[in-house]
Amino acid sequence: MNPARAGVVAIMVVLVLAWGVWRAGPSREAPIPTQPARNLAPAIAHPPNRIVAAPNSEFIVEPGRDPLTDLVGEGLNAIGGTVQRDLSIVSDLLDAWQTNFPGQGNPVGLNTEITAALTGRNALRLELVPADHPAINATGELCDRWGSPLVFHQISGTHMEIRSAGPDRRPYTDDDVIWVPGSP
Amino acid sequence: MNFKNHLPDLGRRQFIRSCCAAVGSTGLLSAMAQLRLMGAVAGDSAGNDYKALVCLFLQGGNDANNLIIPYDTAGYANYAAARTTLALPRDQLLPINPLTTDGRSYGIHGALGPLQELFGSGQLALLANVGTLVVPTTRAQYEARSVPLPPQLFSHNDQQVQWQSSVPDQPFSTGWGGRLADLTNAFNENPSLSMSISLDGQNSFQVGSSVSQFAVNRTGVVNLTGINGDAGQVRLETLKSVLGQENENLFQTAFGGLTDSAIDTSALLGEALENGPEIATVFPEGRLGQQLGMIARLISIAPQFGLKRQVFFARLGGWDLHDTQIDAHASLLAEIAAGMKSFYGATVELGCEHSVTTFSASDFGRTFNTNGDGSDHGWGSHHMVMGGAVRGGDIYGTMPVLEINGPDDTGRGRWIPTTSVDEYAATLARWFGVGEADLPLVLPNLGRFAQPDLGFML
Repeated sequence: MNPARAGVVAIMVVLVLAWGVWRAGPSREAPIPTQPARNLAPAIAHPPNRIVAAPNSEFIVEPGRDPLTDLVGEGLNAIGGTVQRDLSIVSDLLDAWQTNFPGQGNPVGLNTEITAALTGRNALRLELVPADHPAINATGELCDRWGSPLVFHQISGTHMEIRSAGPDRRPYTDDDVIWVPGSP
Repeated sequence: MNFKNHLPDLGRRQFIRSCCAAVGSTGLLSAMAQLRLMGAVAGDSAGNDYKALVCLFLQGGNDANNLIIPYDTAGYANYAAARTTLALPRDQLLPINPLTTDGRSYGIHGALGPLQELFGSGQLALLANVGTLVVPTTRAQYEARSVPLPPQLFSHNDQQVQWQSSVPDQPFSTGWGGRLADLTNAFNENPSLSMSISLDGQNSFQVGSSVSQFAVNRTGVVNLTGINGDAGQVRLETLKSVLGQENENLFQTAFGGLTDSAIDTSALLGEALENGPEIATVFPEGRLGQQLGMIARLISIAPQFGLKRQVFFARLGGWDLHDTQIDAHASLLAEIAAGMKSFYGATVELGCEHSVTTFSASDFGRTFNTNGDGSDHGWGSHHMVMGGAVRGGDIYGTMPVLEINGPDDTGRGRWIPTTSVDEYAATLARWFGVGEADLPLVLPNLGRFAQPDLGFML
């Protein structure tokens, strides 16, 4: 066997071994760990005279019952958490999606379509978010801690800007909090 | 089993030869088509006519639901009820009378007065509900995901590229304007300037295999600085000497050659523009008016460069109006209308209005309902085609049923396109001189759609 052919055989052996290790590993149903949270665009301070609404308890996760805890670190909309952390978690979910569906980019469309994809309507039936998670409203939209549907702005297949309407529950106002992908 | 019997043992050189043969066969098809075109030019005096295609890209996604608006009482009432804060007052719409009717009446946005005139006089056509498609798609198919959909629908970058390539189901390699230029460059006689000129930097539309896009800016050619005077000339000669050197690295050599050529072309073009004919038509100030004004000047000097076919790219951003849409959209449409009207006037002044066709394109349409004060990313969208060779005064294609959760809706009034970008582009390519047999070279997916000629060009 000439050296070039021996090299090819060696690479094949390594690939077969790697495949075997992968097959023996955790089920494909388990999401791949996500990347560390990235930075948020600075949240805009609330105007002092604005009445800041209290978080909507319907969309708040009580301690100990957040199914996302094991998946992405902290719980989405968890009591004691912050909206910045919530958006970071959603971004991590999208990263996990991209890891599980390489080359396909983020799920796209309306909030309902993106949420449906994240809750299992996908080729792998992968549930990155349980369909009964408290952050999902009755119409199937992923909501912020005030109960407003998150706004997904699809800049490219892999860059998604995520917006919380903030305490006033109206998107595109001064108290919105925005996750900007790839910000340093 | 002896794999050698099934897998030929390709040596490196043999592999490269095989790849070259595969690539070469694609090039061969294009070359044969070019030869056919050259034959057509020689045998048909019409082939010697000058033609220019101008792509006007509305970057960010134009809300065409406020471009063409139902004007009859019932249609307007439905529109107003669905659009709420985005609905334009009926008395501010400009009514239009299309040559053919689908039984409904329509108006256009009040800021489009100059285009209403062109529509009325037959130099402007409207295209209804055009968008990216892999195959014709129904709502049921969309919901069941039973047909392939354009990847990353509703994403800006992806949809911009797919509109400009018209091959949504393949990774980007060339734009349809670039492929059109590759094919029709045969019409040009030893051109000393690329037939593909961008007025707004790099774009996917004009990326071709053999014809490179040449970028100018709104005020003219992009010149090097620091090359004036004796010292500057020394700098320039030194730079050109460095660029002209042979490199072991092929990319470096190609970069040097391309840059050197761009410097020479810029100098040549700058001089031609300076000595070109004065155009009396006044263009509006602003990004688009200046781009279109420069295109008119470039068209006026095309004969000096042996150009009988040109493809231009102009772009206006700011259409991604998720918020405070009403005023900003009106302002953008007014800019478009004024710029297009002036541009048409300039082509009349130059005597080439029948040879220049301007068409609009955009990432996508926008949602029919509002998010509060704006609209979000949609899919199918209405478009405009302008020129003396346009069968204007009519709406081509099929208007969607403007009904949330209706048969054309994928949610919130994101219309499934009823006309594909392929059909839109093919109609323009055919006018540009591409024969029916060669259309698939420009639009490889065209065969999947019903209408390779939408009929809006004479």
